Amino acid sequence: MRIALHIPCLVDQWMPEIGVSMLRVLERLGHQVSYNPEQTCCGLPPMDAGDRRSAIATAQRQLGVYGDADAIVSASASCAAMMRKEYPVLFAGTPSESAAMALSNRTHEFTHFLVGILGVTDVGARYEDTVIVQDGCKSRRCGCVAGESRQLLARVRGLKVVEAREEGCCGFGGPFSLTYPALSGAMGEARADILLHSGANTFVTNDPGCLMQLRGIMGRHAKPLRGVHIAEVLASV
Amino acid sequence: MRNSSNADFEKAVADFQYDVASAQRHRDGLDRENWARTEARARFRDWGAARAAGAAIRDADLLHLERRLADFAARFESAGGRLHWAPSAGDAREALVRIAKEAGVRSCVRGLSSTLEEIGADEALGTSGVAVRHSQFGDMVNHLRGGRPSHMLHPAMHLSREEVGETLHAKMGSPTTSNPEEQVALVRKSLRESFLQADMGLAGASFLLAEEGKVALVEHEGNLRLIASMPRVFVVVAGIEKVTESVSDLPLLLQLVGASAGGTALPSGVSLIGPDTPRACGETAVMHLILVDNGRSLLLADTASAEALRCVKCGACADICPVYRMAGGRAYGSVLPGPIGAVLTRHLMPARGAQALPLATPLCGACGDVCPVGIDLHRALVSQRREMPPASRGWKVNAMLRLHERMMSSQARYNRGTRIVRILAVLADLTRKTSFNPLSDWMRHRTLPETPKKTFRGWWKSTAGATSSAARKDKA
Repeated sequence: MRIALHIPCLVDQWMPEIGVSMLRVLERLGHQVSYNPEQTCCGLPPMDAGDRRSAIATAQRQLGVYGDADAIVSASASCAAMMRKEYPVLFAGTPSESAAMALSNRTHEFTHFLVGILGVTDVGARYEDTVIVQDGCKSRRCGCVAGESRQLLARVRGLKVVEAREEGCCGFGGPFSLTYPALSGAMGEARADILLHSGANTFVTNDPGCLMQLRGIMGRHAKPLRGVHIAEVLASV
Repeated sequence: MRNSSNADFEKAVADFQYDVASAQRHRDGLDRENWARTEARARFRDWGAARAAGAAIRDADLLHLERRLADFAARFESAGGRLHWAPSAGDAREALVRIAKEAGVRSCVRGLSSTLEEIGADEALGTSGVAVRHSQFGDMVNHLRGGRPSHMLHPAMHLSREEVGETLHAKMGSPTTSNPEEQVALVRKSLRESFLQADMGLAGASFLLAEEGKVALVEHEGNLRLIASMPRVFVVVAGIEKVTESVSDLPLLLQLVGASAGGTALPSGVSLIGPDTPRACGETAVMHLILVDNGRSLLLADTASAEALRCVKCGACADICPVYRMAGGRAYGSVLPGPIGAVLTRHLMPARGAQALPLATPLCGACGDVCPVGIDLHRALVSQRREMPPASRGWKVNAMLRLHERMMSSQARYNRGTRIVRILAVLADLTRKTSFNPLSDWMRHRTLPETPKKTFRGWWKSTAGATSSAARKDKA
């Protein structure tokens, strides 16, 4: 399959290892992977902030940068949800409607792409660690409905997956963390404590936003829990 | 205006968390609610199908709202009921006061209802010299304390049983007890007298049945039945969106409400009451219904948020909301807290502040997932944000948005912009404890990510010459 990578700005600038890991996993599975540096941002920050005009202006650019790839695979559940679920609504009734629909149908979050589209759960990875899943809340809006992360992690050699007493949000929410920095921080701390008490050494996520928030909170409060993107676990052999 | 600014909301959250024991009771209460709800949902053969069917019923009700209301009005009036249309909350208050005056009402006993809070029924009756007694236990305790509700269905969930005992002792002269059973017995005795003495019973409605011209009262205590049947005047105040086609819709809707409100197969008490329903107070009884629009028609015209009017007021979206969990209900300054409150309060109770509430959520979407009638609260909240004045987002978000749009508009601008951002990040880290750093609040709670040597696009460019994946791996 010809796959175009969607590398969110956060990954491009601050966590490039996630993009490299995704590329390795997809190539290991025998796919032809491309990346177009003309891509910038999916438009989620202005969308979430309620600035529809700016969201459309930014999203418009996305419609033309993926060529005729069979699939567009994103390193972020939030961005994938934006492109899959919001683009068709955002561009409804505009000349870009069909392009938006076409993009929406081809776009997949990384774990959903592996499990739901390729039907793969064992990617041949080995990773010695005890981890807990902290997927992005937007996973539920981008097609992840079958516990894709857990299915993939269950087939990683050397890996032990533990569960928290409940699922929950890390409190990041993009512009929310700027408008309500203390509330967002307190929510993140509460979540970090639940993850810590699970007995895991590392939390695994499919969303760079959650990764930045929780890593930042662990860092500021010196809490001993690492965070990685699931692509990094799956790329490891 | 209460809680009109984002800082006020954060302050209210901090105040709530400051009372550690109360905040813990709030969280424990939510855990109990959420567990009971999860188990109740699991007892459905197909929860997804049930909620989709519930959503379809409510959507059809909203689509045919005018016809349903006309049908309801015809049947209700032909059965002897008195109907009052209230385009605004003020009209509803006027109607309520007029009914009380004409009937010479001096005392009133009322049920728990967000619509009564929405129109300000207590204040209106109070200034007209009508004594109002709250019958729902937690609502009554709150009212006695002069406090505001913290939960849609359990308004005093933040209080301890000792605090409840002290309140009953101080305000009702009862012996001090922290035993809930004794407390309930005390209150029951005093309430029974109110039911016998009150001139007027006042309640909200869960549903209005168009074909039958009856109201469905849903409760967990049994007091509404007494409110509806004992006093000589009975007044129901209901939003126009409460109308549903017929009693045959109720089995499903009540199962959804039961599972989502109390974690039960059905709500513990349901009464179907019309103007001609025989009542304990005898032949002279009159039933009034005040139908309130108050912004609902306008909300109905807003395609992205209209489905919020499907709401059956179960409280599930608030219980699961991570912000409500931290904030408690009182921070919202509304009887409707949580996500549904953030959407509805702006439309129905704009004077109560809460204009900024749709911003107070990370948009995790848990609310929409748990909603028994499938309201896409995520989309509704985003849509509310779109309608708000840009200034309400705060200057930091607005500055970020302007820079962001420009930076993302071409590859060249992106490359220049991100280079500057990487330098600014270093500066921000160095000055994080100074007040002129606009990110100092943010960075008090989080470290910034470490700046990597190479961006992904930089790495891709440097390996672009290598066509085979093996060569690229070697270079990485």
